[in-house]
Amino acid sequence: MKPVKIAMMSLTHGHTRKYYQTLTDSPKLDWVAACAENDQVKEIFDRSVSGVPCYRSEEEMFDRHPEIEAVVLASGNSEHMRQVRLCTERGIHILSMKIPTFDMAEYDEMIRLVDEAQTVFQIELEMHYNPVIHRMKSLLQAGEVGRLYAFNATNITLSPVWAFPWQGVPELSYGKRVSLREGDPRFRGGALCDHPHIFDMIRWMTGSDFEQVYAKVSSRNIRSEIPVEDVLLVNGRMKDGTSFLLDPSWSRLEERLTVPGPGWEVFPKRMEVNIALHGEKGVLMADCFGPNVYHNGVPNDRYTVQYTYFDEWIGLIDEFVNCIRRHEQPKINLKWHRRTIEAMNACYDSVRDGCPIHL
Amino acid sequence: MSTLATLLMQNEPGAVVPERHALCESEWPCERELTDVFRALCEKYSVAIPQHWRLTGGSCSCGSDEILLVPAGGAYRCDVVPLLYWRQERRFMELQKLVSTRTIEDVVMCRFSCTGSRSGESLSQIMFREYDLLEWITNSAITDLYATMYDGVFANVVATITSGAVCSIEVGSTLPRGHKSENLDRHELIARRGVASDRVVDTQIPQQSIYLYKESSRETWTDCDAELFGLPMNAIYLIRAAFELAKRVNNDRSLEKMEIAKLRNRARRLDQLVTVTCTAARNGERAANLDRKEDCELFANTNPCKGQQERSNV
Repeated sequence: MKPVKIAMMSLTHGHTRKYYQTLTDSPKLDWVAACAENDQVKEIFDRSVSGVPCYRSEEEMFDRHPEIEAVVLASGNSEHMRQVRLCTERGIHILSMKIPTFDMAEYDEMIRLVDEAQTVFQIELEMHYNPVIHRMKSLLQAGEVGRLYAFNATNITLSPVWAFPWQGVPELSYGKRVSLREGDPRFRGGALCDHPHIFDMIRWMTGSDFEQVYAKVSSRNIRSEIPVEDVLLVNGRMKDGTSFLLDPSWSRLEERLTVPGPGWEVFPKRMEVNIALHGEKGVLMADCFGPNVYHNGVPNDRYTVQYTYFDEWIGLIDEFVNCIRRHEQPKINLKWHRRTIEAMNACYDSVRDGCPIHL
Repeated sequence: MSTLATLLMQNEPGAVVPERHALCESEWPCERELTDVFRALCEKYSVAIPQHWRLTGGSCSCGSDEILLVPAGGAYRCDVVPLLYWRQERRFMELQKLVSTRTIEDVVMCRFSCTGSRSGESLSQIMFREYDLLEWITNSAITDLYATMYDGVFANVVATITSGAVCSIEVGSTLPRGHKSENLDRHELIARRGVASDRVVDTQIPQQSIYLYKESSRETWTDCDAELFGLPMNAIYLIRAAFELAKRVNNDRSLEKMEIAKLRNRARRLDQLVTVTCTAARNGERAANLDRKEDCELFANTNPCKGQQERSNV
């Protein structure tokens, strides 16, 4: 299969560094260019990657590289709509970060533009390419736990706001400044916006959709300095009756590094996606990332969980390239993901109103 | 007097190992065994023995001049004294101490979960205990909650406590019948300064102290009371809870009346929370205003830090 000529835009997303490796290693991709959002980001890119030209203007990048077939939108959420317009005008396929937009009018415009351009739009929800998830889903489908009673999951991490400041700015993360609730000094756009995976995964695993959600934010953040929520819980029920409890918090403290690297963790484990399925025949519990190794060495002599290799991006890129070459839509496309975004917005509405929201 | 009680009086902790199988094999040892060991413990530490107290883990009936001490959280037909025996478990004492001594500061989130076997405790019993642990460990009352339940065997609860922390309580009896291991549980407190948990980082299930792998089976043990070694852990906690109560009462009938009233009020509060949870889940609504002062007594019914200290001193 002919490699896809690909570029990266903005380079400000938390997963950007992962793509440096992925775009370099994948035999299915030919990385031809990148465009940095600002000079500081360009400087970091130039230190990290060699042989790939990096521009400061998106138009200049596209003009100089008409061979670009696809892009990775490695940008803050507020940039996505504009960049989707830019790409669909040029017939360029898009691999978007996990939140295309929280504005449902914008979301529907994205669907229309992609449909009209007949391009591929894949959303980066890499858990779909995780081997533990594959095993869980096959066990569930085989009826090992029987009829599902409850789906409980964590997607808890440290907060990336010190390295990726847009994630702590309501207008850039949520798209606008919306108070969490009357009298609360915080705004939408924090931990919830960073963690759509478990909202997506429960739909994927159960084949059902959200019926009711109830979300509660702690009365105060762990990090008093940030203006968006960092700790919250979500409870509810799917249309098939499955109860769920989701924890999408930034509940692991971090050193405030401007460039992520060793020593980022204050709590030993910086990220966790654990899922427990309770059913009529038994209980299935999974930690999606591991096995890990542990050390207390450089730089802080602090006990640390060192993750081993993550290979989710291999399957993700395989699907993206296959869809481009075969003119198919990926499973995690804009239309599929819309209900996940609706449910996340309903969580914010629940926080605002203090009551469950029916979808 | 039972063998264990006799050995206890002879100050031979640990010498009771071979007697393990002489104990009652049911979930709770028989009433006589429990009461004998409790009285022996009182005698050993010169605590006045309330002769009219009986200690039982199972079904019961009692005379008018007797006081029957039972594990809290169950449904009993007569007027009993419910003991919050789980508070004697060292990990819970330590979590409570980490909060009360401000080793971790300003808890903003609690993550509690407990899954038991279908043939074990009922969902409401597990919920009763987890609510007590939440309020006691955080020294903060549940103010509102929202719950979803499935078939009376699993419940997800999101609650707020008076301190403003948001809390998840995931409880179920979904492990298959005959599952012999301990409950799978986790109690985690996330604070602005520090995280406390009774589970190891990067693990999903409880650790055990001892693992015995044999050709066709695996056995595990987690013994943590040499003095009462040989009894099932829940029985040990029940005896310890009765012993702590006896120390507080000190054979004073007015103190006894007061302490018993506190325990009954506390059980009533927890029963109410369980009932409210079921109603809220059925109606799909949030339940609020759950922290009326008169209902919230007794977070600190026993002082576990003090109790632990006393135990280690003797």
